[in-house]
Amino acid sequence: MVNYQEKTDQQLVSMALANPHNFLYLMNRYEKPLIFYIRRISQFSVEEAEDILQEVFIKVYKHLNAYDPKLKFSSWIYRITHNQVISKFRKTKARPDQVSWDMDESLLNRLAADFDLEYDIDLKLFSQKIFNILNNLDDKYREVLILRYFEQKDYSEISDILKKPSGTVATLINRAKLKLKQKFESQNIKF
Amino acid sequence: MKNSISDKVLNKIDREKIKPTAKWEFIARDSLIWLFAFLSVLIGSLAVSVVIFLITGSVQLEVQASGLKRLLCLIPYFWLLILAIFLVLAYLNFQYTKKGYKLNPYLVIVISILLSIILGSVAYAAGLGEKIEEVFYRRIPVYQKIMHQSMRPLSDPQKGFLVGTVACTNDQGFLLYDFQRQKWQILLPEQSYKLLPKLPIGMRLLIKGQQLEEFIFQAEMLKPLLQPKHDLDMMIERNNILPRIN
Repeated sequence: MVNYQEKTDQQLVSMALANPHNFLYLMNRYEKPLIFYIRRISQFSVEEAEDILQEVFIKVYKHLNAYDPKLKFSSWIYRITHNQVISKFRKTKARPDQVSWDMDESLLNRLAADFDLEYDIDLKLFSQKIFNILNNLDDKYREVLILRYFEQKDYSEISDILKKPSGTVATLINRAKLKLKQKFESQNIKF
Repeated sequence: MKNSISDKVLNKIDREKIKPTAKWEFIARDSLIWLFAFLSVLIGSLAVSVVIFLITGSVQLEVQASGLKRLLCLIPYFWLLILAIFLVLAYLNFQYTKKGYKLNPYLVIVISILLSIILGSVAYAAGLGEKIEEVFYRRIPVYQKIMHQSMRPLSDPQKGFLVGTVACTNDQGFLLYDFQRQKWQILLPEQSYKLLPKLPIGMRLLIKGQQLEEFIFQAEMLKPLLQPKHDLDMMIERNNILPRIN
């Protein structure tokens, strides 16, 4: 049994190209983070998110030879995932009803630290407020905030995932933070 | 979380015998995108060469039309539209390249425009602008109509200006279709008859002179439209056949 955790993404890609069953290692590495990512940007249910993830993995497998090692593999797979979710929205022609996803304390702490928020002792209530605020933002702002704060991607990675120049990403994040602050104020979330 | 997703994916790969797409297909696709981007810039450049040709040819026209009327005639809308379309295509193709998205879109557009202007100027200097415009005029009826429409305000026979295309030569001079498809008899002085073989059918001319009757015009000056250094022009100059307009 290969100890795939010591292998780089690039090595796992080469292994998968040599033998399809080695693709399992890449899937094991990215299954959980991508399921969370899909649910965060789409509000799909767990089952729908799993369906999308299956399509993502099939697409990734078919496109393994297109992967350019100069790009981070995680950025590449996140890009495919992002595009697959958008494609799903277009096919269904409707966004799903808001289904909440778990927002753990570490994520909330990260957001609170950056915005200097004082949040309630009731973590669940606070996370619900944040969740509602995020879901009411424009897609272009929500997706950069999720990548920045919840997926912990840097500007360069976000640029690669969304295929936008870094300058545009920085502008979007600044504007998104401004919008978020305005929403916090209107919801009486204190700074 | 159970690994049911991974199992399903691997089963599907086995069942449907899915294979990774060959690398050469991606290389071919990327190459095609670059080729289309390059071709778009090239066609945009050719449009620029025609724009330069039309503007430099038009500004030298000595006609009665002035001010806004003249300006509206001079602006080559058709070619500017072609240029805009191909600049957009070049930009879109560039965005689809592997690293194209990293550049600021405004920078990409500015570079595309600059490149088109530089290459277009070279193409114009090589005479391509004139040749392309002529081919379009002769072969594409829609373009011909657009040109006639835009140049029509330059024609004012009562004030001594007539524009049109040579229909055929005859004993007295030649027949001209103006841009409203009216046929005019153009009378030339006898000493100018040697010009007649130099007048190809379909040539666009600006004629200065005097309207004698309805659809009869006495020519005092002939000038090829949009072609300041045409052979005809030089022949008139060399042989002093007709007085030049100052």
